[in-house]
Amino acid sequence: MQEYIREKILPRVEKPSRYLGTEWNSVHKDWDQTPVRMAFAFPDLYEVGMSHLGLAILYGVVNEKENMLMERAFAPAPDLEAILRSEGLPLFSLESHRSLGEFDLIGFTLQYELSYTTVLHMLDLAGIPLLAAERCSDHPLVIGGGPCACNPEPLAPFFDCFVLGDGEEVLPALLEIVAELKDSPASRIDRAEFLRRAALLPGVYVPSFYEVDYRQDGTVAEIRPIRPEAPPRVRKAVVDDLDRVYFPTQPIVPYLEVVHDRIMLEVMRGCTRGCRFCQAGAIYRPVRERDVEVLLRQAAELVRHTGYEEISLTSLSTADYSCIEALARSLAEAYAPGGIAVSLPSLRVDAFSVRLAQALQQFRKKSTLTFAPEAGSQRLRDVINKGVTAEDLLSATGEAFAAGWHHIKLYFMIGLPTETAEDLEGIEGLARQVLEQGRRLSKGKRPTVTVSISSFVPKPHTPFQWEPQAGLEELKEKQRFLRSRLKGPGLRFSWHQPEMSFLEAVLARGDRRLAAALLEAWRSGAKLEGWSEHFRYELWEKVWEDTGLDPAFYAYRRRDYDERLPWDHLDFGVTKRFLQQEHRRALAGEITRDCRSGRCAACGVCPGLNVGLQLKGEGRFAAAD
Amino acid sequence: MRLRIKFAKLGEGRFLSHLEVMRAFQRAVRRAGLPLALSQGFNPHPRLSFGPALAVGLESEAEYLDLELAEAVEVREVGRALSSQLPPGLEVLTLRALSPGEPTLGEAVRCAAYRVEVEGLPPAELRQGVDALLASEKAVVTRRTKDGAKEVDIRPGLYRLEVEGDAILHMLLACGPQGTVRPEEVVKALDPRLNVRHARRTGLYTGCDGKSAVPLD
Repeated sequence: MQEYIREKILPRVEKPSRYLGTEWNSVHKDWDQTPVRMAFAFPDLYEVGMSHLGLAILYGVVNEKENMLMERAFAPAPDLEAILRSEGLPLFSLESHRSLGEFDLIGFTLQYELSYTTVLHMLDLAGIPLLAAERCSDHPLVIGGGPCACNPEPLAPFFDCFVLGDGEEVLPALLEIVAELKDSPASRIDRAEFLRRAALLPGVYVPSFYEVDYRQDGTVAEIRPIRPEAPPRVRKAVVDDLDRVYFPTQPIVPYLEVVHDRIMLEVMRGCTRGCRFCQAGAIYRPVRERDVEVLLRQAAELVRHTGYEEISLTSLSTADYSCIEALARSLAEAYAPGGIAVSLPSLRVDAFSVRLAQALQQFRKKSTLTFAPEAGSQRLRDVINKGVTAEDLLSATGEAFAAGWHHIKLYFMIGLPTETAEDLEGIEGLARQVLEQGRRLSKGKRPTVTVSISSFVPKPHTPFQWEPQAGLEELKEKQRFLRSRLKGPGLRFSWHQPEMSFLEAVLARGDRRLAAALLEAWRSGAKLEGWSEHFRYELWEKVWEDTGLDPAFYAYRRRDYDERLPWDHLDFGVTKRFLQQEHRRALAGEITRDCRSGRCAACGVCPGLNVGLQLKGEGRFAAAD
Repeated sequence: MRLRIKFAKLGEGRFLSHLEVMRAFQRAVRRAGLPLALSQGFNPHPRLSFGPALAVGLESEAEYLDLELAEAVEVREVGRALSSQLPPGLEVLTLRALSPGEPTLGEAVRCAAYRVEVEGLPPAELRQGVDALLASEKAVVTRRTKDGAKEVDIRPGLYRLEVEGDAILHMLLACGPQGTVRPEEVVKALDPRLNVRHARRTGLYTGCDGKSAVPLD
């Protein structure tokens, strides 16, 4: 098949380098000699998937094992899909151009809810039955991981198991079970035995080992383990020491320009800011920092092995990394003379971050600096625990204008709990204040302020998991209001399709019954739905009609604290008690301090997961504090 | 020190776009640990300049790039270091140091030779088509550009066209500031039934008078 794909298929597609599989540092292992074979499937296009650090980590850690190999697969672009369909060819892996069906295991990363239909699309293109119950020993096991595995219930019938939490230690252990169960590289394994053993590993959730009962009103009555191996609650896997865990220093260097086309140096995992809308902030706890020495060593190897011209200091909130100044200074000293830039993926809303960015001379070609105040009034920012004031924002933007930037982008959410007209007016007010400031400070330039609006989506494992999402009409009305207010010279406005946020809200807090809707949507042609040009909401309206499922039940319903939530059996460390307390504090407008300050907010993660907060330097807390 | 590197883009290398080849070299020269001369300014980058672009799908046994180094290094050493860092499909063929004042690739290149395997016409008709095209004074094809389609006369830029065997064409085409003719345009002008099976650039030249062409190396 490799020969055929190279000679007959690739010459016909628009960007063959997406499927070539021979990029620098790609790993090509001997198929026949390697007993455990896994495909990492990213349910989106190559350029999105190759920007994902998790792929690089797992690809590296698995391929380092002598008895295991991992190859990559991505959703095909429409041109390749048409060729595969017309020729009856299966979706293939990049390295050996083999059908995904030949692997022992296919692992999908679940980064966002709107990729779920693409998961089904890829399984179908590979000729693999979508439902786990319909697969037999001839088929690969299908596993999932990534942030959406924190409530994978809508996908439960399609997957054999999920990995919750940090994957780099669990996945090799899971693959070791495959190795033990294989008589020879060519043989298939006993699926039931695999799942039985897998369920005993930390962080592994086997959905078919649980039964869900529903009440008359449609809510979950009970989630019952039905097998002795299945724990009542599955606790996420957590890496306790980032300095000792594997980190890839020979990642693949794509030919094609991908979304994040640079070295990603992970300085820490987790974020303790505690923004109440943020799921990542909840499920990646606790904060674990890497040592500066370790990072410098990794950076040196990465530079040598990739030839990239930029090092991005990656994490959920890099300016919070306690040794950020020392690290940034050392990296800049080592690499700036060679023309290798050091950059921050996002900026915290304060002057410190801007000074840091300026010191790194980053965004040298990019003329826009982006900040995320998230809400327009102090009251609402306190509700979401954003911990940012108007003064913080203005000191950040003031610093930016003075340093020569004159385009500022501000991210806000609409539809947040308790939001009123004043909060929306506050968005306009902040934007105009920043613009006025820009006009004063950036001489001879015409500053612009872009307001980018997204719709709030309540997510599992956050204090807002009980909250209803704002209705579609309400969101559209609020967008219209802001659009009409944010007019005039220097002001720009951009927004997302609220229908996408609505579907995201339905799937994020969905239960197993939504699998029927996903199936139906996939049958009607849904795929690559994270791309607005591929997203067709009409299709979903018909799905609700045909399946009799009510999306409002999932998106718009306020849950009681004592309701059994579909993800209650999945333990990410943050206790429900803490989330309830945070929810109450939110509604009361009370903020909760970052636990870096030394004050434990008792979220439950450290005792629950038997790990601790790991800071490497003196806590450089928010300049605003 | 300026170096001229001649490289091949064969096999899977043909699937790379010009931009992708440039990126692959930029990263390879960094990995090779060469003492790169960096451009001045806020965003210093290695000084690499490439010859004329080659479309996705075409092979080449004669691509060029000029590389500037901050200090003198033995040419053979550069070749060895760079070769070990190139992905499959890209291969260094020869290197030489440029003397000061030698024209850049953009200034030097005037025409390009191609070997094109075609299908879709019986050999006799192919020969007749070639004779007819060479005898004509004009050959207008439609060229799609980012501003839309436009009609171009490729005849003045078609310097040589020969048939080898039953289905192989050798072409010498204009390639430079005076205009560029693409091999697939010649095929299109020959006969609409004709398809390119395989195409390879075989040389770049500094001067073309229809008879003699001076290779760049």
